[in-house]
Amino acid sequence: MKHLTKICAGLCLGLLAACSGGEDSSNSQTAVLKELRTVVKENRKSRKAPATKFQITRAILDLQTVGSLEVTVESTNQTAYLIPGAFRTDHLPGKIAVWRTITGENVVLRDGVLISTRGLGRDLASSDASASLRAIKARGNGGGERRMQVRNDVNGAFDLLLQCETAVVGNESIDIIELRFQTLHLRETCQSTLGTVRNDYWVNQSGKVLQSRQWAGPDLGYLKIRLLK
Amino acid sequence: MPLHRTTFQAFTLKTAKRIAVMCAAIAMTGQLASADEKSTRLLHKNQPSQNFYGLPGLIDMPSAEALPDGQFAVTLSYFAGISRNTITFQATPRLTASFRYAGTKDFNIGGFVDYRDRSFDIRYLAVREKRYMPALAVGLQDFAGTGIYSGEYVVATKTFNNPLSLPGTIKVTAGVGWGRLADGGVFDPARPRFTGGTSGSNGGSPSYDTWFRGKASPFAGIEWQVNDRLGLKLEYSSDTYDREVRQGVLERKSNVNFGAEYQYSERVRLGAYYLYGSEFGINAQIQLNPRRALNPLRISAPRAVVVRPTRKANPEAWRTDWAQSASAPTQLRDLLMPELQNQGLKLYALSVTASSAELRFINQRYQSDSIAVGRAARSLARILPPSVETFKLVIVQNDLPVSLVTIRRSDLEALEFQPDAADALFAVTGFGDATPQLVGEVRPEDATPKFSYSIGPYVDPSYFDPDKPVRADAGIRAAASYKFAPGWKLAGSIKHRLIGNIGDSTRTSNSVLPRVRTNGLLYSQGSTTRLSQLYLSKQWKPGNSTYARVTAGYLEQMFAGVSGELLWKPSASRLALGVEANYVKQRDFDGAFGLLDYTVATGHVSAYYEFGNGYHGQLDVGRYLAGDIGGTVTLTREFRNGWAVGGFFTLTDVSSADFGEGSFDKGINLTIPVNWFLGKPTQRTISTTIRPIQRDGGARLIVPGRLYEQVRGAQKKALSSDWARVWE
Repeated sequence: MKHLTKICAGLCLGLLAACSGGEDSSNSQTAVLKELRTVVKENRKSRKAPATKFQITRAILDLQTVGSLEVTVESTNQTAYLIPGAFRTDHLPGKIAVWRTITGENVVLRDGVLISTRGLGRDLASSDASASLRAIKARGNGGGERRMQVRNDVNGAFDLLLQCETAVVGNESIDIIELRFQTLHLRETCQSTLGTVRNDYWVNQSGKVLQSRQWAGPDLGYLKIRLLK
Repeated sequence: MPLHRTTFQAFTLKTAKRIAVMCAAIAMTGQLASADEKSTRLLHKNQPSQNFYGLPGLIDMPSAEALPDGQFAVTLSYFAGISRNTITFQATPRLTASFRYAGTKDFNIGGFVDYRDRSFDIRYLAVREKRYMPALAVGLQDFAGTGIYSGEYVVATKTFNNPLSLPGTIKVTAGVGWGRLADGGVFDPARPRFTGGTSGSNGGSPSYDTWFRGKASPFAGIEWQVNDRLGLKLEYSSDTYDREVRQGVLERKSNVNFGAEYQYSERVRLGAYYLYGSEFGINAQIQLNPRRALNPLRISAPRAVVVRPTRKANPEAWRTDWAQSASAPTQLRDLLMPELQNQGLKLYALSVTASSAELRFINQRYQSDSIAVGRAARSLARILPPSVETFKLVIVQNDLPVSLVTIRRSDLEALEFQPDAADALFAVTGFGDATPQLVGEVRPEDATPKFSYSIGPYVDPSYFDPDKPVRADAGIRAAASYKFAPGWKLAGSIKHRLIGNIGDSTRTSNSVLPRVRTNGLLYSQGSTTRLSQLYLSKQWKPGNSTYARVTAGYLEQMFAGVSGELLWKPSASRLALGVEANYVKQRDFDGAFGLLDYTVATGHVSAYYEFGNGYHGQLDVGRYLAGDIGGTVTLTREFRNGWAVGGFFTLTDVSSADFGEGSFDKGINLTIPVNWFLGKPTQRTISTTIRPIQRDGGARLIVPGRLYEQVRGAQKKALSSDWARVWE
């Protein structure tokens, strides 16, 4: 036992001393330990300095030359402010906007409806937004089938088929960083084998989704999304 | 009895377990799954608890339950000086397999005070539980060991949710046991004495001549999962512990055992029990599923595919005269290199024409080559002039251009945000074999030479020595490799032991065969500093779907010599065929350059086959290190994220008497991808081979850089099973 303790102590010392270089990806204990060390270090660093929530004001937003999207992952209560990465149209209805953080996370919306996330882990790989977009465009009741593909931990994605119905909740005024907007609150209720999920959209007069709460899959859960600018 | 030595490729199972426990502790701080997450999360409610033998069951008795498919359970149990450490794997939805290392303190049998033994179990779920039908399973316990736990059972289990308005779930189990699980135990005179099949007293062979023989006894029990955390168990045991009672290991006053279990987290369950009316016992169960990572992989998002302006909108951009310029390929190469570098890829070679480009690249970051293919295609779309429509992507593994993936640029542009983007792209992507040479290629100026090194700690464990079940050596290891020309590699490593007790063993080899593996102890004692490897290798592609390798030098700790290999593996084929020939001399025990007198020509013809659904088979037939002739069968269950669990056995013309304990060579391979723990992209893996015992028969040479595993990861089968990641 004493021997093993010594070996463990040696290994811990070694962990501090391990080094490697060059381009060849080696699979030695050293390389694995080095990687483990990096992650432990990063975790310690992020525990020491938890991200302070950035207080955003309209004045700051006005100084920005590009758009801004606020996304909060409900399950972790983490908020990020995203900037536009790319805008795109394809043969499907709705304009695609790729919003990104500087740390490599993406949220992709098609006219405000979530179609993909990246860099969050167990991401929403892709999603069909047609039914939701139709209902939003019609400012009310509608529905249809939605398909989502959610990434799993075995390099694949599983299909989720949702039966969705959208209904009007009512007119609501919402506040987004010092500005008040008159919106129509729509709720899309979807049934799947995993149970019921609800997506909420707050849509302005011209049909733009200003604020939403959308489900991104069983692991990511709900994202709260606000279009700040 | 010889020193039981295991071979190790990279890391130790023990260390892996330690990391697993550590990571599990980190994971525990996260929240438990909510109700609508059943399909992807392992709800602990759905996973059966383990018994003292580490299989789904009650306390000392089995149940008819199976683990979720692919699940691992590590169980440590202890009572009355009897410890059992078991790894169980749900190999298929119905087949459960276990490997156990058990010890009994002060047993005083077979010449040992403390008796330690390894054993294998299998269980087959014959009937799944239905509304009115219980689940029905048949199990063989310790079916190939020296037999102290050997027993068979047929058992039924039925689950009742909220019975009699009680909270939670009640499982009722009843069964019939033979051998260990019957009155009279394995020494029941009506049961044939274990002879190890045809193998004399060496154990290790299926003891089918004793299965379901002798007296049969009933057993039964109830498990009540009161709520998410608390479980209660009560059983009537049919194990009479005759031998243990006789040897004074325990007093058996009752047939009834009971206890309580606490689900500490999704993966960890702890239990405390009162057994046989006289003993307290404890049990710790850890369950892991390769499908559920400890930390989900998070990969920094790629930039959106750059879409070309239409030809109509910008005809100027679509001109093709750039391709006439002699400097175009080098200019494009220089623009592509940093772009690829950002994505963890390295440009190996590039060839461009006005309408198509072939990029040969090395994936330096991702476990999944599909991610690398997707990112390489994005890089090409960002850099290449609009007229280039066809992207040919070739993944290069250690200078072997493996497979060719052909993607149309317009598909890449059109499909990125489609609802079924990955499937849609797959349908229009071509897969084939890469040619050995690329016509008109430009390579980076610094293509060769490449020098790599690493210095760091190492641990070499050695298991199952009856005197000390876990031994280890630890110290510093330095390794370096130098690639001085395409396909050529000079590599070596040195180990310096700082501490360890492997050499303290007194169990020298008793083998009657040439001692090709059982001299491990002499090597450990030989020197504190040793040259582990020093070799020169060259690998190349003779044809589009053939691969070749020649290696010479100090190939492994015990042998030096030359090795040649040829592999046929077309990208789209499930079957691969290989042939390997080696001529080696045994190395001196001092770990320096010296050689001993023993020389052998060894080699194999190999067939590899991908059965689908992650099942993989390999058959090697040939001559082994001790000069014995025979074959090795390996069956592996692979998960797409890099987890692999396999079992192998080797039968040769060496008789089981000559082979010694264990009768023939067999073992378990386990590979775990490091990104499964870390959640960060990396290609590193932890892998280990566990042998119940290492003898000289059926021993294969260890050769660095065998071709098959280098090649197939980047081929069509692997790419298609990971294709969902291509847009990531």
